[in-house]
Amino acid sequence: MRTPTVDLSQTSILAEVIVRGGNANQHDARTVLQHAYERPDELYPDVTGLSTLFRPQATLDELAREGQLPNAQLSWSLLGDLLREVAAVGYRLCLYRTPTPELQDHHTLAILRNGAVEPTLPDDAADALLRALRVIDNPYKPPKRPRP
Amino acid sequence: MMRNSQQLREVFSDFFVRHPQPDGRVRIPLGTSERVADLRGLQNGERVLLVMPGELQAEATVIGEPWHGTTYWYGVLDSIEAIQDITPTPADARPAASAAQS
Repeated sequence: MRTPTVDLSQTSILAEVIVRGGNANQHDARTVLQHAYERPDELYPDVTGLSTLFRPQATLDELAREGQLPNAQLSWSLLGDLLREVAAVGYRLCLYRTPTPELQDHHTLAILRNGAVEPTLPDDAADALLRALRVIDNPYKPPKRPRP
Repeated sequence: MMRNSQQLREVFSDFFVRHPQPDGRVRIPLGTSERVADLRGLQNGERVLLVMPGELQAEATVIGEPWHGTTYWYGVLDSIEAIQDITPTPADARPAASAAQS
C-alpha cells in the first residue's frame, strides 16, 4: 500500500507551518539535510525524504511541543515559502503522512522533479529549503548537559 | 579499556525519531547499508557515535534487524540523556579567542 500524501493544493499555504529540529543557518546545515533525506524510513519503506512535523491548523508552538526535539534550535517555515523556494529552482514538494508511535504529526518531506521523487537531495534543492527555513531557539529541549 | 567518543565510528542521525523502550533505552532508526554509506560494514553490537553535525551526538550500540529482505540498523542509547548538545556556545569559543590573543 502506498503511503498517503497531503494534498498541498487544499492547504492554506500561507498559514500552514512545518518544523524540523536543528539550525538551518549553521555551517553543516546542507550536509545534515542531505544525510537525513537519504535514510529509508523503517515504517514506510516506499518513502524518501526529511522528517518534519506538520498538522493542518497547528501552531509552531504546538508542533514544537509535540516534537520534544533535543536540538537547541528548531527550523520552521510556512508551507508557501517552501513551495515557492523549491519551485524557483525547478522542483515541487511532496508531503507524506508518516506518523510514528511517538509523533502522530510526523510527516516526510520529499522533493519532486518531473513528477518523480528525488532519491537523494540535490544541492540546489537543499539550498532552496534552507532559504525558506527560519531558526528559533527550541523552548522544549531538555537542559544542555556538559560534555564529558 | 575505556574508549572515548573520539575513537568511535561516526554514524549520522538527526535524532528526529526516537523510540523509548520500557527499560529506559531509546532506539533510533538509522537505515540500511544499501542506501546509506556510513552504515556499510556495521557489526551487531558495535559501539558507535551517532552524530548530527554541529548539533547533537550520542554514543549508541547498533543492532540490525531483518527488514524487507535486508537489514535495518538501529542505534540504541542507554537513555534519552545520552544525547549531547554539541552546538557551539560563546563559552566554547572563548579559549580559542584567548589563545589567539596571547
